[in-house]
Amino acid sequence: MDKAVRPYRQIPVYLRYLINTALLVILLAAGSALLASGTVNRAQSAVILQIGIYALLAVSLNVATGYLGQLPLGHAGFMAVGAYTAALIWKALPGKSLGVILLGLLAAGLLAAVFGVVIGIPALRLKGDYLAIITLGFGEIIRVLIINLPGVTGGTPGLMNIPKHSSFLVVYATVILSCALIHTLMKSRHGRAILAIRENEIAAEASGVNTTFYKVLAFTVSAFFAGVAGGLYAGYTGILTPGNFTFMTSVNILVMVVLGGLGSMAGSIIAAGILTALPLALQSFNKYRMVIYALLLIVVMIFKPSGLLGRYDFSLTRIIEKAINGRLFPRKGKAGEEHA
Amino acid sequence: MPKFARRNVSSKMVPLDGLGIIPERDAGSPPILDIRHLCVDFGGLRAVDDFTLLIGRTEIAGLIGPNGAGKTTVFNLLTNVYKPTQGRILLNGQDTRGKSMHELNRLGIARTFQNIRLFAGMTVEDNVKVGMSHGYDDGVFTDIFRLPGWWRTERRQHVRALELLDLFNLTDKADALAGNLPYGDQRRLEIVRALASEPKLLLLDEPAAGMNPSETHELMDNIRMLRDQFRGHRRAELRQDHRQGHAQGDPKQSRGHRGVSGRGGGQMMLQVTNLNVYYGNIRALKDVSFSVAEGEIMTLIGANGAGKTTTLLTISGLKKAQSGAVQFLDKDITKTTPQSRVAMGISQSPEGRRVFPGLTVLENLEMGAYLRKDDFSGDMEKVFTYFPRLKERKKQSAGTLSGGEQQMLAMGRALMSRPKLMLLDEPSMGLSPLLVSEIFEIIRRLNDNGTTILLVEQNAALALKLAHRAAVMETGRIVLAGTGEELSRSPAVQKAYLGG
Repeated sequence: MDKAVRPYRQIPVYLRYLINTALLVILLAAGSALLASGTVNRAQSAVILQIGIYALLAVSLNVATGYLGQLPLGHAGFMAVGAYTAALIWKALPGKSLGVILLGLLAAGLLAAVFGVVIGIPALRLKGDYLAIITLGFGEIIRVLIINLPGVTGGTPGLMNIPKHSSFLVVYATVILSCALIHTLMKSRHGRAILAIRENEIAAEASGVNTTFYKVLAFTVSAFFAGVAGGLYAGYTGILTPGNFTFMTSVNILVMVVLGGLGSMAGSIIAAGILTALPLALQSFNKYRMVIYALLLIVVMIFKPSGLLGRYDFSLTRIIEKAINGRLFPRKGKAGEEHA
Repeated sequence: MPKFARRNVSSKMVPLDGLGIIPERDAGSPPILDIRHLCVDFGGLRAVDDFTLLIGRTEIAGLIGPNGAGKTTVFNLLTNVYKPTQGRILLNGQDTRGKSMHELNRLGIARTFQNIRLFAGMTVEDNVKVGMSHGYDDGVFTDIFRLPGWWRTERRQHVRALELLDLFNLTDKADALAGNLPYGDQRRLEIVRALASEPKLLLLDEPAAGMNPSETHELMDNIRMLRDQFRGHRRAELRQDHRQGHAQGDPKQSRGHRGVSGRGGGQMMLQVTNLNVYYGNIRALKDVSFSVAEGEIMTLIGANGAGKTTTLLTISGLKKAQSGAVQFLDKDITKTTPQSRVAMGISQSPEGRRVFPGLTVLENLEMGAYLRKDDFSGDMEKVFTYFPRLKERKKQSAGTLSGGEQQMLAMGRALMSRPKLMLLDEPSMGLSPLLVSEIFEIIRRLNDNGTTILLVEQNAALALKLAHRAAVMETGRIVLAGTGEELSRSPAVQKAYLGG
């Protein structure tokens, strides 16, 4: 039939961005209104904030694991650097102005990024398990440094009375903006170079991709956003202790990324939501809480080893495109014939 | 015959100046590539010895020689995958020593790989775009914040990528994942990706491996067209290919002395009925049915992407069928696991060899006997009598073997499970004509000793000569079947696959 000949209509890029921006602004406004109206209790709103923070941590780790294809295990270290940086700035600068909040988060990200470069250059010469171990070591060094610099960080008892800047709007605006920036990076020449390294490092190098540069770049971007998430975390809890940033924190973030699907931003966010909300939701089964949590992970990994979403990423505009082309529900057999 | 500037090169290389140089060569300007006295040692083994070669601009030079002669090693030396022990390489007058691979790409070398290395999880278009690694200087922030530079770059790269893909008729596959392309398209895509960096010197490592004669001719035409089209860019090409001589190949070599009707009366060993297999939405096999009788050699021939490899993978259980049935020795095995199929007596020597590169030859063979609990030293000896070369290299790790030796190892490994039915996928891929006839002779001996063989081959001429029965596949269907001799006489087959 001549229907198949009709070209597939696409939404222009600028219009896509417009649609997505409008949708996100509406979501953000709706969320704020919901929280302000008081239909959500304190405990629930705390969970919602935590989900946002962990979503950003997972999305940032996904840059290094899912997109670049490396396995760093020290993500809590970058988070700690960011958390303490933001906390110290906010404690030193009173007031709740947007400028102060932004300054804190930006500084948190930048300092974490500096650590990312410093660790990344030597660490990324190694591969696989070696990289995992060296970054694991880095995470621990940060934690030990925090314990042993009580003058700055408050040592083991920690840092108290941090201004609680992380409101719903601050957290989610930051998360959305960060995800958008990571997305725009990945959908560009530089992003493709990073993906190419994951797919085949030798071929990428032979195609002219400076693999060292792009590995450090991806690692640094990953560290930057982990630092920003750390800053949000500081502004959410109001108290920081070195115990918040152990190896287990890094592992938890990694579990989120793997569960959601390596290389899928939407997957990371969904997994962060599930794994943050689940332990809290299961509190009434306190005894079996961790058993259920562990079982869930095992079941997902057995039946969906590539994670909940695999490498698939959710795209609203793609769905709209399918709808306007009348292909929202393609029949399998027919699609196969067309390709053949 | 095409007028290639052919230089006969062994690893002990003498420059043959003035031989076979195409007239257009820019004799006045300095050569694009100037290699002098190149040597490299791997452990105690000298893989390349005193290799000297000059290539002029716009010249197509062919590096030919048997497997293990050192052709790929020369390519790896040119792209600094290995460091030469002695000698020097000048690219466009510049010494390439100490340069990293991506810097060499910037200087104008682009290459393809003998074992295709695409970015399998990325789209075809993105693969080409990664190849366009220079000429675009926008920084990271331009891209992140979607400044005008990003829009310009994306548009330019998109247009250019489609232009390049069009050269090899890949435009309509631009959105497909590279890993889902059929083999021949993957080879072509790799060339397109290499071209994307606008190289001055294009290194093609076995570009025709795994292609049938008509595809090979098409590829050669394409390569010549590229050279002509890009003459302004002064591109020179160095290709290595065993099969340059295949068109005039000696038809007498390894002539089978088989009966036309095979060993008629043999009981059906394998029965495949109405097999349908999908890759995502793409239907790779469409109602494929055929059978293999006990004691015979059956061959599947056809173009790349026709579904031959998929058929073998479905028989060995590595790929699941959506519908249809596979019966082996009167048992339905459609739903059994690959390992239990091995235990029942089906073993596969896969496309691209797939040896375990970090294990020694001996360990690779032992892996073939993984499921066996009895003593298999006798079979090991038998493998060594079929492939004496493997015995010499017993202790060597498989990754250091040449392509031909790896093929022997893959077949030897498959033999170790003492199969009743052996599935051979492209055993001749990337091998020199001499080695191909050696391998085919071994296949014949294996069959004489009682192993039933299902062979998938690009080298249709040889396969048809060897096989008792054959079937031709086209886009997932079996379109023609008969005895080997019948098919080799069929005009359609001659035209499409025998290069006649």
